Amino acid sequence: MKEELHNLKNEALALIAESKNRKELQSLRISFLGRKGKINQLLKKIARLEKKERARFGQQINEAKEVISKAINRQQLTFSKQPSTATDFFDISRPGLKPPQGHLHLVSQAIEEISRIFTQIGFIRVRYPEIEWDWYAFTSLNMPPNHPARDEWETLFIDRPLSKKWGKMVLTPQTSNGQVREMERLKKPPIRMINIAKCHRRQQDVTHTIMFHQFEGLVVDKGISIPHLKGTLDYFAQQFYGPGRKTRLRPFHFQFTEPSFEVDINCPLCLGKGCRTCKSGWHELGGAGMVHPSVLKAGGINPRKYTGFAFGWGVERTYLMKEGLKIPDLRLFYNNDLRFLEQF
Amino acid sequence: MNILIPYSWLKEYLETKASPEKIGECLSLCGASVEKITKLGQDKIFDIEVTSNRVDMMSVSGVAREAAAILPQFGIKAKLKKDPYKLKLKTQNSKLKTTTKSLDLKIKIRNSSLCPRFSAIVLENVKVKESPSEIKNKLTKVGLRPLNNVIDISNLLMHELGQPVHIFDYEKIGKRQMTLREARKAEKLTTLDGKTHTLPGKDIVIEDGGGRLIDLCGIMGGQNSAVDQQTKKIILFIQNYEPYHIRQTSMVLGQRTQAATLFEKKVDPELVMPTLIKGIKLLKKYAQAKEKSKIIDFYSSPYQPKEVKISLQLIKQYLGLPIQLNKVKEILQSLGFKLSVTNQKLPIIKAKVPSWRAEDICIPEDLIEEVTRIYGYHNLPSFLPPLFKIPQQSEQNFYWEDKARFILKNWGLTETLSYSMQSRQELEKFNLQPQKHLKIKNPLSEDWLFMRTKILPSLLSIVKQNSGKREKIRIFEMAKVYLPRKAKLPQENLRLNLLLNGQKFFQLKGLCQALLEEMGIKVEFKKFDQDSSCWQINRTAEIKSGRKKLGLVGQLKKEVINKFELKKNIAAADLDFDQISRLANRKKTYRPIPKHPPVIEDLTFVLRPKTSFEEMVTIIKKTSPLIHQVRLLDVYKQSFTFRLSFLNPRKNLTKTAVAKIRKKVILQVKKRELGKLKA
Repeated sequence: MKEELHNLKNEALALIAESKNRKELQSLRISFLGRKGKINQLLKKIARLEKKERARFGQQINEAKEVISKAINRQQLTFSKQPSTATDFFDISRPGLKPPQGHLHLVSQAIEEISRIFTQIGFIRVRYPEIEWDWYAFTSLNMPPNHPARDEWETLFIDRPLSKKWGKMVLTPQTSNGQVREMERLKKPPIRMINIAKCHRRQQDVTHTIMFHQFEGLVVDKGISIPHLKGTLDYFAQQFYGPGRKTRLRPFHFQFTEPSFEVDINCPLCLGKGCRTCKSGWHELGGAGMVHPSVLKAGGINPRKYTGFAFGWGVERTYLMKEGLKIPDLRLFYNNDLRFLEQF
Repeated sequence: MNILIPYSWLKEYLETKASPEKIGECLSLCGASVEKITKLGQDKIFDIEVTSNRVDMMSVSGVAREAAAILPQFGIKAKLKKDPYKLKLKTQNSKLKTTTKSLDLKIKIRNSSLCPRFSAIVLENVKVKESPSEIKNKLTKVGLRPLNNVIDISNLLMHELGQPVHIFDYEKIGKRQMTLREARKAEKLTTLDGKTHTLPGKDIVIEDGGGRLIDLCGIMGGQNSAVDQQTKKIILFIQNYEPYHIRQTSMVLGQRTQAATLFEKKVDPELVMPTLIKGIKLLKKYAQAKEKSKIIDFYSSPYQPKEVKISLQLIKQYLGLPIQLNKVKEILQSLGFKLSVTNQKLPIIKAKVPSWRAEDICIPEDLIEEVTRIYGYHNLPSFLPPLFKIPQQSEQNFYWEDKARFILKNWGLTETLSYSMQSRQELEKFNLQPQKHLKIKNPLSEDWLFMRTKILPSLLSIVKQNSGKREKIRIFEMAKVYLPRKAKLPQENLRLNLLLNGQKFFQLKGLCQALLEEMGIKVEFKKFDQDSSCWQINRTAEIKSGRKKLGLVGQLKKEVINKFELKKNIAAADLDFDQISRLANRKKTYRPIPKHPPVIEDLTFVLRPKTSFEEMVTIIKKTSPLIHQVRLLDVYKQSFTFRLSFLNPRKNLTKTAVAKIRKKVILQVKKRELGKLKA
């Protein structure tokens, strides 16, 4: 009976191999594997065997069934590849069925990219209040009481009673309020933060929106130098804008840094040599500087032992400098016209 | 602030062979940013951005001094010529003696802190006429309109030396008296340009002996004392004013003159006398003026050079490379510092600060800036700071924010970002009370008056704005809301809001549930039956995880939708993302895969009205532990099709076993009067 099974299997495999089309294959499947097929006929004879052989034979039959079934499936595949379907008209130019497509706001995309770059080099992402006390937004940052940045033409104030300890309540005009807050959180260096948040200033035109975003980097430790700042900014420029891009520092002035710098990035077209679009070879990117000793002091850090650098740039502005984006008006970011949002 | 400087004018103060382009490049790298160089006839004009701390560079001579320090660092010879601070009075000439009393002019200064230095001289025999072309050309090149020789000279002095200058018609000053004081609120004054100002109060003004205001000090002179074609006697008037007063008045009145821009940044009082001397010289030469009075000079606390110390070691540390003491000395001296060095082994440099940098140089780091910028930041190396372990901010979880955004985007929603302030109308349309919001004291516009406590009003405005552009709207926004607290900063709560237009309760409920499950949070939806000003009472659910409230999902009230002038219904969700971040987790648990396949059966019941899905599931599941899952497959009117899956983890279920359970299910549903099996 074992031999019978063996022959049956071989016969089946031979017939399958010679079959010419699906129809032939289907009748082979029925004649061998169907309910009244040859295999099942053989199975009925199992009762003739001795009890202890039945199980083994049953197993062999199952194996044979599987081998035949696989052979049929395999043969079927060869049919589907056969040239007969080549003559069907199948229009691949018809649109594919896309999954539903949503869009992230450009500023979200920028923030995600910026925080990824800085966290790669060990920066810790943090978040601090957007409505803040004067102390953190100005006084601790070495802003004298009558500094223009604090007057009501530039900063938005909240109509609330003054705090005796912390002063007025303001909408932070920069992310630098995170500097002293981060110093207080960690109590002592090393500090290496990237603070990304909403900021507000009293201005609305083509290049300014009353609300915008900034990212603030702060590194404080023993022996932090200007080359450390250059290295960090160059790393960012290459990751964010692409290889070959680099930054340069020029003298500038901010209250909370000394020395203070304006950071430029080389033009993507001429890489700093100077060309028709950029003239000087460089574009302004944002401000940076070495943390002012008064700011360290305000954060409880000894400026005689530690130095640091900081930079705070507009997310929107920084993103707009990417090649090929060409957004002419910053206000588009916050108009929330779906025809704008769905482009990105 | 920007200043235009013609190359030819600069060369009057700067001896160098450098080309305009080279000067521009070097100044940009080490001094002030040269934004543009424009060709004008034979000349080139620099457009220079000067930072607010460097008001000493807001002049031709100031830029020349800076260039003379910078160019040699690039190997280019350069020298400052005609240093204005070297202009001295020739006191042998009796007429040019200084005094605080003069017969020709009575001066009263009510508060000397308003005017740290007050100087003037009366000149007679003045011939007012057209300026010669050399003066007119200079002014035209820097965008100033020539008027007559007297006015032109005052403008030329300011541009050349950086000190604002005013000239009065002497005869027009009542009783030859001047009183410098703070203005009272609502006093009136007409300036040279014909504008009449109602003063805000505390403005620095001068009143004459006739009780008239004749000068809006530091900003613009009064029309009633202005020089005209008939003027014969003048007062050359050169002052130094307290900056804060000037800025306040100039900003409130919107009178932004060049003089105000300079004074509000604190001009060097030591510059007063050189300007006066140069002014007398020019008025004599070009307007035939003769001195009538002595020089009046009130200067209560003359500048005493202060000293700032810095160690060479600290300079080296900031630079990140070694620098020679001689190099440091050379740089600082070229900028006008007087130096002495102590301790040759670990040198300490003591620098006496020149008067024109007195406001700007106060601490050692200020000197570091001077040295490093002139040395050239472009000459410094670039490397990353060393890496250390730093603890994360415990309450923040940026990972989940990014993750939720990406999930929603990939499910077809578009992210919006709207202003964090709302208008009174927006709040009222959403039935919110303005007084429960933080209000901006000095709003830029009524559109942005209150700090929002809800994101949804902004989203509804966005729907309105986009109506007609898109049929289907599926948006979300993640942003902070600002919840007022007594005597504290507001609580800033990060919220995630979602919005679908139409009757989309179940789509949005499913979306919220799936999103939260992706973040490892199991949630329940409870009927939200509190009276709400914006949520439809019967169409809103509270999302809970255990006892923690995560937010609401529901249909918005028709009344609110109407107020926003929207036609379609709106389904929305308002989730507390701070809470969600705290609960989110990446815990995974493996459940064994069943060895035996489940048996699946669909049963359609006609349910009695008001039977809830939840009730049905509970009853069905209670019937047998072998009912592994119950899903709602389809709803048509009152017919509900449930898909039951039967599973015994230990063995294959027989048809008869399943049939037995099925019967029991049908019976239970009937017995509890929830509904009956559809035939």
